[in-house]
Amino acid sequence: MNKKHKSYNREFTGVFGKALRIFLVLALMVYLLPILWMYVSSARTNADFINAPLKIPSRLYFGNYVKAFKMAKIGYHFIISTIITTVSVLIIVTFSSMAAFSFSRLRYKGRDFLYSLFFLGLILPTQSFLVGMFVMFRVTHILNTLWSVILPVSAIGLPIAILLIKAFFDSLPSSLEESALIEGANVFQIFWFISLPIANAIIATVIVFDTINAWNEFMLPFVMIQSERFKPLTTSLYVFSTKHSAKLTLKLAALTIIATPMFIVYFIFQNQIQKGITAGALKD
Amino acid sequence: MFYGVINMIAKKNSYILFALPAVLLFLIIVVIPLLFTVVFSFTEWRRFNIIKFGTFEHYIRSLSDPVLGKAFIHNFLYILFTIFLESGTGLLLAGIVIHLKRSIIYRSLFFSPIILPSIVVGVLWRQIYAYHAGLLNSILTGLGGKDIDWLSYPFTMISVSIVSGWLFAGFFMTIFYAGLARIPDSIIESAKLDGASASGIFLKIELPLIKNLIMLALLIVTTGGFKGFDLFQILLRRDPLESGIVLPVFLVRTFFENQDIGYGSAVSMLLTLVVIAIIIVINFINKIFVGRVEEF
Amino acid sequence: MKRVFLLFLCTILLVFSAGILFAAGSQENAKVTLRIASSSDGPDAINIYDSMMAEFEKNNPGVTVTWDRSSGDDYQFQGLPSLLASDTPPDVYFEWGGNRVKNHAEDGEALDITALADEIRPTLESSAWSGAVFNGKTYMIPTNQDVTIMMWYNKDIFSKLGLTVPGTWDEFLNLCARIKGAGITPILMGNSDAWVAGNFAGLFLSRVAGDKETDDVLSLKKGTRFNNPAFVKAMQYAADLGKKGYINRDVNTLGYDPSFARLFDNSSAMYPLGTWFVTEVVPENAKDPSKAHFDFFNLPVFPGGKGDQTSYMGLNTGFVANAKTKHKDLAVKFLKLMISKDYQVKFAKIGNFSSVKGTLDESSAYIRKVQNLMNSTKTVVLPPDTGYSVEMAESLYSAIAQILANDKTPEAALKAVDQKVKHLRK
Repeated sequence: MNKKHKSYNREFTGVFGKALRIFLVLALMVYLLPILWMYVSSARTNADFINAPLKIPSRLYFGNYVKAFKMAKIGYHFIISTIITTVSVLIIVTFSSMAAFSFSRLRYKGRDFLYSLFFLGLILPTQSFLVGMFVMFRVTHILNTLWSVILPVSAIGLPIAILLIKAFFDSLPSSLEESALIEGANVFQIFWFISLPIANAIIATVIVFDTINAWNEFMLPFVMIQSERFKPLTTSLYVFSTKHSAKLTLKLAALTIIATPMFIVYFIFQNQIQKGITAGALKD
Repeated sequence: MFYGVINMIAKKNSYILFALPAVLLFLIIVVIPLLFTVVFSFTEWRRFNIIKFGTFEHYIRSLSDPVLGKAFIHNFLYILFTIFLESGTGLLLAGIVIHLKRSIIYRSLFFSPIILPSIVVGVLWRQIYAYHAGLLNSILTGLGGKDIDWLSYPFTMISVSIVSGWLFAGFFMTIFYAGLARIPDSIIESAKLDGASASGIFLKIELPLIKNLIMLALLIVTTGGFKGFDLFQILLRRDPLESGIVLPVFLVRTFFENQDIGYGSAVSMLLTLVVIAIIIVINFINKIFVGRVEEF
Repeated sequence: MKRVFLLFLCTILLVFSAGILFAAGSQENAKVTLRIASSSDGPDAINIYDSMMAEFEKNNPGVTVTWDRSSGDDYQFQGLPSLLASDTPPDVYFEWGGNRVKNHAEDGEALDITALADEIRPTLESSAWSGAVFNGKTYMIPTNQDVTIMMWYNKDIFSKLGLTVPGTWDEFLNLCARIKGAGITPILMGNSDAWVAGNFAGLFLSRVAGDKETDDVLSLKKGTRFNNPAFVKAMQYAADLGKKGYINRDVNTLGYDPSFARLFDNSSAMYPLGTWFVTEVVPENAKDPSKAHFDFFNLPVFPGGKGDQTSYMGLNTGFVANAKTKHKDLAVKFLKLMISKDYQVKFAKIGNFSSVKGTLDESSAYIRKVQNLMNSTKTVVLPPDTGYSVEMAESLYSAIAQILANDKTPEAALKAVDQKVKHLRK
């Protein structure tokens, strides 16, 4: 898998290669047009925009961003989203690395049954237990708190994280752990001081991946959280987007404010993100 | 399913404690509510306070519920469209990108929409599809065409599917690219030396070697088609025409708006059964046509 | 083994301490919190509510009032039901009078506030109480009396084209034809939330098929059907409007709020909407004269219609105290403050049709006209989505949307309604 494929040549060159590249560039332009349009339009006044949505504006108006930031209370809901994301990812990472370690390195009664339980989570859509979960949260008074999003986001993130980390452990020999065991370390020490550091690459992938998932979650807060105080960015923006006072360009400005940090984070971590996706797919 | 070498280092039944936090969380949040939902689907329970056990009524009602039928049809349409728009486009892009030098910039740009929250994607595309001052209609009228109401019948499903394709094509491109990159260059090179055409290489060599990934993509698209909620809710809002109602949205409407817990549970069970049936069918197809694909 | 157990314990502790932290963070610092919930309000109304909350907090030391209007347009169907189901339900909440209040009363979510009602009864218009009283008990303090459908029109466009307010349906159609001929959309609706057109064409039903007859069908009385000749006839009027292109093409995808922009830029001539549209037009008078050129008329007379042709669609809205509230006295006190004349005068000033006597500014032509409309008829038709079962209304609204878009014939669409409400008829 890590083979360098530079020594051989699979690239098309010549006219055909050029044609492919031109096609790709054209496709990319169409592909990125919506995002470009969002950025340009978000810096226009509303009247200007309505009259000619396509025109490249002669003068940019940046007041939209300040206004949208204030009106949609982006700062406040950003904090809510951060809390939800941090706690969920922490839960996923601790729980799944411990479980994956035990599934790969330890043996105990019921191990394979427990492992196969998580496959259920890989195939079940959230909707299949949403109703039961809602009723349960209502009875236990979790509804309309941050937990009503954190708990399901964590539980739904567990299966794939366990699968990834376990596969990673499985692919490595256990000689280091075994020698530590012979030298008298207990299993917890082995997990903490040896196995976990080995797995940090895959855990980093899990973190990046689940952070995006938790940050972008829409349906769960949409059904679980109705109080403004606990709404994450996604659903608070949804409400904002339906309001009359939110003019078109203001809406686009709010979207831009949310999208820009995501793009920055993506271009910093894009290797991790793409690796996470391919690792998940190729292991399956 | 791919299993590596299992390296067991110790055995003791109390080690179950390592797995317990994950297992407990999963049991409490996923498995137990799932069982609840099964039970609820046989109850008459509305607005949280009237309950009657033991009724098959909801399942009987679901057979003749016209909106539910519509939701199923739309769901299958959505899957049909997205197979082409998500995985098909992704495959095409991967097939092109793999044969070009310095493709990383293309790959990361095509992939980029997927990291956007669905609220951003939904509101943005709602504006692109808007009848008045929308991007698409502005281009269309600029070219001398007539305005089209993209989010209403008969365009609704295809419009939403295009957004899906735009969002996820990069995801499938990345998967297929990884699969294609694992094909040794020497195979491709020798084919090229033998004078194989580009389409020949793609169809006869590359595609067969990643057919397990194609099956995986099919699995993801079809099961994912039954999970799609965000885009439909944000793009179509209440969708009075019901021209784009799909199962997850129908479920939220019945359960959260009409507060019909019994019927909502039954709908969610039907949805689960369909997803499981699809997984079984795809696995079956996989066994017949693909067989066990050995790693190379 | 001990270490393993310790680790397990630590994780659990970590999670639960985080939980306690959250729980503590989510509780207000003040000892008592009174929660109010409503759908979205305009900025002017929010200012008045804010001063009301401040006064209440001053008069009741140690009490914090929080106001939740975050559900926006989803309040009616999703926001409120979920809030009521949550652990921090609102103590006082906004509601539309009628079937919805009755449901809350049956579900133990509405406090019997007959005592308060008796106390303030002399100060309110007597018609305000319909939809608030069930089985002799009062569950809602009605603050507003609204007409939900009246035809708002652009006076400039009308005078430019030399048009006059139509009295009959045929005159109305002629008028639409002339507006369309001038390149302007005759009727604008932002129906992506289904209720605008649902209310508009819903009134056709009782005007054409008769008020009692329509009420019977919408209440799902035994032996009634939606697919009946009178309803088909009524819906044919709606289908005609769509077929002739008198309604904006994107009626069913245009959002309610974004739609106003198209009225204010003079590209559309009429919008069937309620009294609350006054708040869009009146207070803007000074700030933005371009919005000041609106007036309204009641729906025209339908030829051969069996219903009262002077009827209007309307309802009372107000606030309900939650029966499950821990602060019954405070909730009642708050309702009393809200319905006090001082505040209702302020609401009336920004265009609300307060039900408190003597609050409306009768020097305003708008307000006198609305009062005339209300006083000129005995028949108030309830909006389907608040007066009847929500599921029925959803089905009917979707039929109306399809009829307006000419996706379905009136017969087919109404037949589909019968099919959808079958399970409610038992």
